[in-house]
Amino acid sequence: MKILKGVEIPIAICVSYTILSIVNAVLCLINGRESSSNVNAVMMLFFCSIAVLVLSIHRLFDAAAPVVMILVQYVIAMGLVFLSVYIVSFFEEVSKGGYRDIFISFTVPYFIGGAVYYISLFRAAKRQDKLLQEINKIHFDAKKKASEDIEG
Amino acid sequence: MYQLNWFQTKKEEERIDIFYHEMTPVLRQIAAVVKNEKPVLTGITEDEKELLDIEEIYYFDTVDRRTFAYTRDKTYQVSLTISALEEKLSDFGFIRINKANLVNIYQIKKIKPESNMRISAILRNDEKLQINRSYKRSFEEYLKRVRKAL
Repeated sequence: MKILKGVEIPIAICVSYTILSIVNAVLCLINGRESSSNVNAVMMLFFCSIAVLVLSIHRLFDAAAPVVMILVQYVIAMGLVFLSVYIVSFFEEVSKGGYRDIFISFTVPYFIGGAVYYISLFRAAKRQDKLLQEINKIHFDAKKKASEDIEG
Repeated sequence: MYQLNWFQTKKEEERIDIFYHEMTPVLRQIAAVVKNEKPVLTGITEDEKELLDIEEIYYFDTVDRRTFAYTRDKTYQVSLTISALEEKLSDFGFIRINKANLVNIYQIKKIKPESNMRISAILRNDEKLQINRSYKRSFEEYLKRVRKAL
């Protein structure tokens, strides 16, 4: 078995906790113990899967500006979430304000993620620029010195 | 930074000894110059062929499967593909920043984030090239590698 290190440990805990929770919720639903928390656990897994799948198609939008990509992905993901709630509403009653709640639950974390991405992008550009300025200074100083040495 | 020592010999012998701890792109460039193996590129303009000095090239661009080299104020067509150039010139400061462009990092003036969440490379002639998301990490790794080697 592979030895887990560093960031792999919390990831392994999250994955195993999710698997246990979902298996438990599904088994409860199969055995007829239909509580709202069991249904919510399965729905949350479904919404997370939509978000991850939609985010994973970002390479298709490589030519587009990231802000366009984020908005397009958001519209696709939100549309799929609303569609799934609409389909569920045929089998189970959706509470009053259910659509508004799911809109807030999905939009807020999505745009927090977008803001984090925006900040990380600025920091990456700053880091790259610093490296570049250092490289250019050393490179052109060395070139100048070499030509002085040769002339001298 | 490398220490440069000059020794004048009495014999009619000219030689270059390189003492190194780690083989870096800069040392490979020096070796290529000494062994006369510096990459040679021929650029074609409308009416003539010219030998190009790779240090003078700002970037390469692919348009309709044809590759062009851009210097400060001239454009040349070259016969190699962008992937072949990427492989050939990686020790000479050239790195891919998007599907169509291979840029000379020594001709980049500034790296700048844009309000539309893109990262741009501003060249010394004030031209602007986009660094695409897929190439962002490899670009930064390349800069780190070059910085470490200097």
